[in-house]
Amino acid sequence: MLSPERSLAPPEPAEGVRLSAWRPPIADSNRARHDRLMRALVAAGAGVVGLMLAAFLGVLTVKGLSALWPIPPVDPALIQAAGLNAEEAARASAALGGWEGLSAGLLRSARWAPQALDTPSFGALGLMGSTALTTGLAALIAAPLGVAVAIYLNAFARPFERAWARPAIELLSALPSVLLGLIGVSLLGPALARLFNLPSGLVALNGGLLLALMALPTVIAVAWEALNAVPQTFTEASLALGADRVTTLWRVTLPASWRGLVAASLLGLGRALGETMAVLMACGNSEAPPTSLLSPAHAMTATLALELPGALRDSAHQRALFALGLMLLTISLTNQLVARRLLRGAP
Amino acid sequence: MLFVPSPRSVTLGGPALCALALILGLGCASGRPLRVQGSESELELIEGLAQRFAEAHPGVGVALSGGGSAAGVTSLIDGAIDVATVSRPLLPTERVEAARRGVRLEATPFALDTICVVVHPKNPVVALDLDELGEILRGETTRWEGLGGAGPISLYGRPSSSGTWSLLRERVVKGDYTPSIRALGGSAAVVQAVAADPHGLGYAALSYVRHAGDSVRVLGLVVSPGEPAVDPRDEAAAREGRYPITRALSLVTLAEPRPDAAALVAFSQSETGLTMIEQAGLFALEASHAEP
Amino acid sequence: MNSASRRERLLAGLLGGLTAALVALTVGLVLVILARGLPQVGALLNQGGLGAAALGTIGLTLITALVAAPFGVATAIALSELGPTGRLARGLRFGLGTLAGVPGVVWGLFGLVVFVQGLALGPSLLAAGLTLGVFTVPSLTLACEQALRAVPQEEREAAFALGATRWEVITRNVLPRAAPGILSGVALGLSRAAGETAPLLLTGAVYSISGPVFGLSAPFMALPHHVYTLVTQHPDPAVGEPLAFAAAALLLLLSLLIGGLAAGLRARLRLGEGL
Repeated sequence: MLSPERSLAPPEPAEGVRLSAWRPPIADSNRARHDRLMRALVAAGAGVVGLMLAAFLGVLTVKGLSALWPIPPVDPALIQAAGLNAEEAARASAALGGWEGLSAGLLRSARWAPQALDTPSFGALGLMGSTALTTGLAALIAAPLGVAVAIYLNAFARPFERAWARPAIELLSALPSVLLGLIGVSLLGPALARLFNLPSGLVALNGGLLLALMALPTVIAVAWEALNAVPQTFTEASLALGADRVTTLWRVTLPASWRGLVAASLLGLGRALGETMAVLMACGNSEAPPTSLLSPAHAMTATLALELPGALRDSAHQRALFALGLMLLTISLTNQLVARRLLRGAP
Repeated sequence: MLFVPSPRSVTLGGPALCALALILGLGCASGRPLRVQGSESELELIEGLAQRFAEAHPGVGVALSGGGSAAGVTSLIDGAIDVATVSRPLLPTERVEAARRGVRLEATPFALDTICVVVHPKNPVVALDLDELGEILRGETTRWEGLGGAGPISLYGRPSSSGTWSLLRERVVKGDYTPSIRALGGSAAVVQAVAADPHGLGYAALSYVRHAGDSVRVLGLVVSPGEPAVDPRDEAAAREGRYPITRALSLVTLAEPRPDAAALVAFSQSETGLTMIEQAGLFALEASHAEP
Repeated sequence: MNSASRRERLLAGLLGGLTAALVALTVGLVLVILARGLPQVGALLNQGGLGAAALGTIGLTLITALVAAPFGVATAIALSELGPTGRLARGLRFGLGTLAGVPGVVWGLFGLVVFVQGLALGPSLLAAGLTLGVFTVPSLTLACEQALRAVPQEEREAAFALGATRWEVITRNVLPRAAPGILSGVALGLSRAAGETAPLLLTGAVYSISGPVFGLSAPFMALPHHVYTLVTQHPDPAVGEPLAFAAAALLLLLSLLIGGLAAGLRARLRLGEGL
């Protein structure tokens, strides 16, 4: 079986788990007390974890939504206290306050220039475009390839091939994102530059390929399980009726498991969406939205990692970044929910 | 076959090992180390300074990170670090933020550095007007043809957290950079990229350009028409201010810094410090203090 | 029949080729990193901060283990043994399942707000360890819960029938059977945490350390972060890139070691089945 955490639909409790609530009273009250204490401790541990999850959602939502609130303009007395001349003072107050709230600008402009000279701009559309480009490319590569590999492992592979493939896929999924970024910069980048005659190989295509590699194990694992979940009676019936394995696949297995396969693709997409280091190192990070696969891209995750350490606490810049984080969280959660819904509906 | 410990031994030994390690860790925490953060243009130099400083002051640890001048000043104002290394003067916004938090900053310049404009060695261009450079960086000029070369210009620069980015914008670009300039993580990356791109043009700090040797060509800048081009590696030009994008590298601390922080600042202007600055290819400054 | 089997063979060949290519690519990537990095580890261990970064990663992994394992296993026990079908349990499981897929950088945001700023731990080893611990809990809990669920129900019922309390059933019957699976889940979670960089970027990893800098409240270096800074910030690429590969090789070795431990434990689990 592939590593447990990748099987997303946990098996339902086994038959008969609904033990009767009545138990013979424990004669030894020490044991009974010990039992109650330890169970309470364990439940408390679970409670802490539950609280932490709630805190996670709460904190990120509050900080992310803080971008909606207006920031009051800077107190002129402060500008005096800082000892600035008139021109500097004007620039400072332009950059430091008087926003009605960032929500409109965040989603209406493609210009992300948080420290621009005249008016800082926090338009996230360009960043979202970059993320969409790299993630979309990754999904377009990983989904068909992953499903193809899963089909092979399910329908055609011999046992020893399965035995080799399983650890190899786990190995691929265990590769940290930084290492793939390193490969992207030092090996894939120069190769792409030579192949396409580009000034630099740090482009969206580079990041997209690396993301596809990272998404593949997820797609393969979930798709494989979805294919395995098709009842054997289906396939046996089809083969008994004289169909060969290709027809069986095409007519029986795939239609029966399409929900799981779509879920696999979505989960692969989700994995690609969240990766930071590979896109940070391999995509070139230009401020312009990408025009093609061969132009540099600046994903949302990379922006967060690059700019958050340099954003003043509670400034417009930091709030905009947290809003980006909230967007990422929302997209990721929605993706997961849809995928799990699909998996639950599978036969 | 790999030796795999039995589940029981891992269950018993694992937590015991972790707890032991943690207790040891808790037990031998070092004294509060000096945190330094900021400009990547000076990273190598500051790293060397930090190592020598730590050797000279046993018992004081120094933790250094990059992230750009902006990140350094922000962290200093937020109180997360002790010394910020910046490669540009403090911005008005930063001074207001400091005032807002009742924090007074003090900048001590310790070295002179220049920002070099580099191109590929095969590029026939050897010098540029300041105005031409500004047009290129603003995206108004996109091809080499009018300047003596051929082909489209591909630009390499730094992200907006960088002091180099900020200073160049103030002095040359005088507007906004073109969106198509690639933001690379450090001056080293810029030099590397330009060395590999025959149409490339990038800006990088002096010490990294010196490292690169012949793999890139450094452009001279012409300040006023008719005057000869000024080379950024020319020490006299830098000191006299004839090279337009010269800057002082500074260490910024709170007005009342920790004794260790003050010691580090003093160290940068000691004999050892001056030698290291020269070795890095930068130009040493005499001791001076400036209120930012 | 002939054309059908030819079609089958064609498809099998195509798909098999893809699979083989993928396996080869994976192995190739690992070998490239190890081949370019390992030979230099010995020489470079004292330079370029490799030693400090390796120690930092080990320290982080220990803290993550201490934070994530107790809470994760406790939650797994609670979910699997103490009311697996209740609404609370379903909600918690649902929450864990969805949050297990949240990217590391978002957990880094959480760590920045709560640990670094909120609890005023500052950018430190402890803050980073807590962040990684919190990041590991969802996937670790789910993996452990599956291991617990895999213990057949007869074990529990037999123990109850003999008069054991619920806690005794858990500790004496369920946990020993599920231990390899649980440890494997913990090991997998840790190996994922060891490779994460984005949370470290936001909670206190630094580029270099001189002199004595260690302890929970001190800044730290870590292998994945070191690979990143070597590639992007090191002044001399001719020096930086080999160092980066060396750090990458060390990181890969560490991940493989922990992952290998997990796989070995799972193999023991399969060997032990059928008793």
